Amino acid sequence: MYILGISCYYHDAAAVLMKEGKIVAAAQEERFTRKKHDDCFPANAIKFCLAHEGITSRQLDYVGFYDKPLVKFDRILETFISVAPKGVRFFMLAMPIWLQKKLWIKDLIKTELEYDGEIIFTEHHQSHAASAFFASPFEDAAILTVDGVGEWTTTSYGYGSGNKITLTHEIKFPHSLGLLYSAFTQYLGFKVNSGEQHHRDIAMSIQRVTEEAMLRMVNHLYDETGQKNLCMAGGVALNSVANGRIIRETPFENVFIQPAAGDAGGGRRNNIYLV
Amino acid sequence: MDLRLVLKNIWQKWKKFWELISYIITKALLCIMYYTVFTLYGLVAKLMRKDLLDLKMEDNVVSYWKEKEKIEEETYKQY
Repeated sequence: MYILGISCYYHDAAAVLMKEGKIVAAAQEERFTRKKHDDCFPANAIKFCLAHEGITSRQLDYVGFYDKPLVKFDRILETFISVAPKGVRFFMLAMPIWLQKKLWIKDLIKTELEYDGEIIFTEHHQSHAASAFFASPFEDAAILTVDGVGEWTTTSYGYGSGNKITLTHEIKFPHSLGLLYSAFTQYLGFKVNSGEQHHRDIAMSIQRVTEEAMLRMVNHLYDETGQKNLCMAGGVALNSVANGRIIRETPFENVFIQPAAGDAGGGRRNNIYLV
Repeated sequence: MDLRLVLKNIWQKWKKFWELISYIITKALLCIMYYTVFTLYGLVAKLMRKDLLDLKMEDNVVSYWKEKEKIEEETYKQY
């Protein structure tokens, strides 16, 4: 059985192909287009994955998309309602893209891929959790997912056991550690996800805040689940300094962090969850 | 002068012109929509003291973690 996972239209568009539950090809679109964090439809990455396995899109059993677009759209509309009349500039930038592309992602995938089968939409943090837990060597583990924002959820925790994942708690948008980091980056005039390191003192301050927040979350997770194993995913889980402190300063005995923990691993997350 | 080249040039300019018009109309419509529908809705929500984004800091809160709503997983749906 072949499953193709796709992530796009936010940042780091990517595709991954799985055969019988194993990853056979994966690629990020930016490697082909040479545009850093390219978010466009990953046509080149998909082409690469299919060519690597020598199949066509018609041989795919499922295509998975890395989040639920309509729930995300609901969050965006409610945000605009909350901040109006401010935010008109961003509204005028965001809406044409949503109305032209993002709301019609199902049709777009079918057209671009010339594919008629099922398209699956997994919840963003559920697939983050799946990518970390199912790829880990643990039979049981506590799971923490932290990123900028998915649909509404920005942070979630729960536990995994065998082939089942249960996320029990969450923090919703706009309360987000990842967005806090991005907000500082933008405030300083740098490009989000790229330019943080240029302003060392502020970068260090926000890094320290991130570490403290992560430590608190992980300690809370330990108290709640009593597990000795921890799996983490989401863009913030790529913060290696914070991860080092989690390994040294929290009671968890084993920690597994999904290597492609950010949204570029979206296709992979998605596929693992479907399998 | 080659007539085909002249016509092609006119056609390109004609397309550019209408692209500009469509850009202006889109922005104008979105702007009107924002300042009417969204702003009014937001105003009513504020008057009704609705906290759509859960921004209010509450006193004596032990944790800001919320219990995740149990929704039956519908992976075939976009919502």
